[in-house]
Amino acid sequence: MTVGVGGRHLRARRPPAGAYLVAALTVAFFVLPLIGLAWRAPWSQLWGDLTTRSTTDALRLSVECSLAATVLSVVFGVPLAWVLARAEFPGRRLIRALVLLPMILPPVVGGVALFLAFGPRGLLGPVLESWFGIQLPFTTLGVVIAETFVAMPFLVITVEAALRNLDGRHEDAAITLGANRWTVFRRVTVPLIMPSLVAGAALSWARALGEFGATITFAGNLEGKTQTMPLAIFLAFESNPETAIALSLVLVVISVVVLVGLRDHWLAA
Amino acid sequence: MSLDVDVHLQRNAFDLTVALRAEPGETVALLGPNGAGKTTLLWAIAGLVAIDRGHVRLDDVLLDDPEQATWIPTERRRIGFVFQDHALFPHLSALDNIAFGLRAGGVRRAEARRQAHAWLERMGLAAHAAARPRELSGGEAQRVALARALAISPRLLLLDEPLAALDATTRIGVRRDLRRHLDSFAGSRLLVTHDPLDAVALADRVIVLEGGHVAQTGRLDELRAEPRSPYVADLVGVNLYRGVLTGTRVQLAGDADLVVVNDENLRGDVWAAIRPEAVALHRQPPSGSPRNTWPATVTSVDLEGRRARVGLDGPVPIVAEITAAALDELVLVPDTPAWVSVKATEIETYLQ
Amino acid sequence: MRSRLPFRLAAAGVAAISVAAFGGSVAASPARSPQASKPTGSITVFAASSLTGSFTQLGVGFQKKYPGTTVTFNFAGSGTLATQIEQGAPADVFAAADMTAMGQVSAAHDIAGRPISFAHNLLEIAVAKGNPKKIKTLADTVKSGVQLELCAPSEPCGMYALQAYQKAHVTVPTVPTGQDAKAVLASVSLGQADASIVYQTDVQAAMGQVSGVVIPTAQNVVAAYPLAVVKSTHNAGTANAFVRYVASPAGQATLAKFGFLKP
Repeated sequence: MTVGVGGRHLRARRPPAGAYLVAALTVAFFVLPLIGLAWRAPWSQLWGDLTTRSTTDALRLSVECSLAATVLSVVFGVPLAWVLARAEFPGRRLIRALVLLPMILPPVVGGVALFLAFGPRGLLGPVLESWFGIQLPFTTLGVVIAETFVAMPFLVITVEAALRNLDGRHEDAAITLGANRWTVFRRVTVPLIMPSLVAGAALSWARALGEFGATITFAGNLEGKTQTMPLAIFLAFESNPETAIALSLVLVVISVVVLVGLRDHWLAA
Repeated sequence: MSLDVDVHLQRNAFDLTVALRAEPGETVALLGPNGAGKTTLLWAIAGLVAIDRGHVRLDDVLLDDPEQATWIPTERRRIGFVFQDHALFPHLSALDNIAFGLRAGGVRRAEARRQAHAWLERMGLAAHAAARPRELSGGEAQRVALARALAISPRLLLLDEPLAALDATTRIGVRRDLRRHLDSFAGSRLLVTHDPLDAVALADRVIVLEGGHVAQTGRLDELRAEPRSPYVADLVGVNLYRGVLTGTRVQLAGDADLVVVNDENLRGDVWAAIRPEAVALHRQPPSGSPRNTWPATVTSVDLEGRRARVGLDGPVPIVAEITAAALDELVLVPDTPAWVSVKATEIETYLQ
Repeated sequence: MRSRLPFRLAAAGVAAISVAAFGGSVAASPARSPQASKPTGSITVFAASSLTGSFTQLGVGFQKKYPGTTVTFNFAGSGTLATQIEQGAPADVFAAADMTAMGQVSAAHDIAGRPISFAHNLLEIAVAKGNPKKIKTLADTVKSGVQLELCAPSEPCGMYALQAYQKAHVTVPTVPTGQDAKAVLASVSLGQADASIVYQTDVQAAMGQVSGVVIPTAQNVVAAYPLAVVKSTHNAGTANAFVRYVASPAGQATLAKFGFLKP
């Protein structure tokens, strides 16, 4: 039988005790700030805070825009990852570095850059406005653009690594069986990289959900139109820190629910 | 469905220059050491890699000809390819693996599955239709891979070391089945292997590839009679030496020479072949007619049933095959001396 | 395309408002303006995030006074807002928390007329609730045993704090700094710091989580908050009306509720 022996019986593969200790400390490092949030949360006024119009607007915007940004990241990021992983052309490493730049740039810098490119006095802004009637800054679409800008690199880097590590024989086999390149991609490549694709999409979504700097700089802080949860929290902190903590908790709970819902087997080969 | 190939290909300082033909109903084995270019040749025929010069023609259809700027992509060549380690799609069941090529060719899903099921039955694997590749044994997976390649009714079948990943017992069974399926395939088949047993069991003709070039072709018994490279000699289990023949003496490398019978009056660069069974071993310098005798040191002794293969170092390194009884009598052990003798009549010489 | 008429009205309207230089005060009664109709339509007000509470209220009051108008706010850091306006963001009114940001926009010729100062703010020492360390003066904040935290010197509240210490002839040792007034206030309320220098509006907004110690006027620094109509406004009439509203007794009363002082 070629089925591997796994699970509880693979004693040799278990991490040593020291690793467990370090892992426990690291988990504490991540969990304590969340416990701090929960500790200071205004539990009595929580419901009131959460059902205000501005909160539900911010929640709705956050969910819709982060989902849209994730979809855009997948639709445009996968072909890019494919090209970066498989094509040979001069300047490929430079292009990859540029694509990953939003991961390193402070988000506000990203937002300013987007403004300089797409704003009313920017490079493309006037063209977009006069030719297509599209205005990006200070619109919900602008939020999606800003979030996609910072989130897509996560998807590209994950999928590119997966494509590089893919054993090409399966795709070779598919081609010999008469499948054209699109069919090979659709029915062989994508299913084989699906765990990485899902993980990359989850990372992108999480990044988009938490995005603040680029959003507030490019899309502004307009309630109901561009004020996502992180922006609402920032504002609440100015006038009512307890509401800010309540809103932060909501964001944390949503993220945890989604990420826990990502079953192990979607992420494993 | 006849194959006509003349491949010139250079890849990373590796040069592949091979011309071969294969006829329908014929199984040709490509034998050779690792790195000889066997797999690269298959890839060139399948179109997974392009050739630099020459042509690949199947049934008078030109698949690849750089000079005429003709190139038919792999997916349109209808060549069945069985990969080493089967390369089955891990995310699809055995049934869907076999149906893959049919569906890629436009057959509707229900019909493709029906045909795939028929293939599974032909392979005796109908019970495993829903199994994923990782749930199949090595032999089962290889059969599914074969069915997958045959399902698209290819015009040519290429097999890359189809039995290499199997253990010895499984190999025997799968080899038998493979023979049956290959025989029932109408087109020509090209089989890459490093195991001469595969060549014996499955092939009508053998092409030996070494360092990107054809070293020797022919039937296996022809190869055994006149091996023309150390690799082939090793393959068929014959002692082989390069030398220069003048009269009845073959001058070997170093100071050694062999006395041979030269009925055909050959001269020049020759191969000298000595079958291991023709080598006699003695404790004392032998007397009598044999003309080729020399002292040697035993380097290895391998007992196989009632016969033993003894490796010896000396002016002429050689492998002898003697009976187990003779081994006991002579008390041959590594690092002990022994005398070797070979009759001149037992040495085959032929021009290089 | 934008019509030129509202622009002219805006220019006239702004000229009609007695625009004083920074630090000047605004006339109590609204100035005469050759406006033809009541304010209507929507405007977008870019305001510093420290003005969130007060301006949201001002917006409510304005919309109540002039039904048919809608005020949308974009709250962010003054510097961010200034950059956005310079790049042509669709703002009608700009309210900054410090003069540098307004100066940036003014220098780029993006505001109509000159800015007015609509409020003043004073510094105050924020201490833990109940003032357990008995801090009474600026000098007390640098005593050993008192952990002081200030705004970063690049922030207006940090700059003003250092000025106040200078005026009081108190040397300030190296202390930890926070990124803005809200952050250093939070340090005090969380017990990380014993004292910090923030605005009196911040202490008021902290709603009993901290106590405040008044800094005498002689040592205190007055922070002026500038307000201006953006040149590229598409609703100059309503924009000007909003500016006037902020300057009006009603507006000033709202600001006073949050602890701001008259300009």
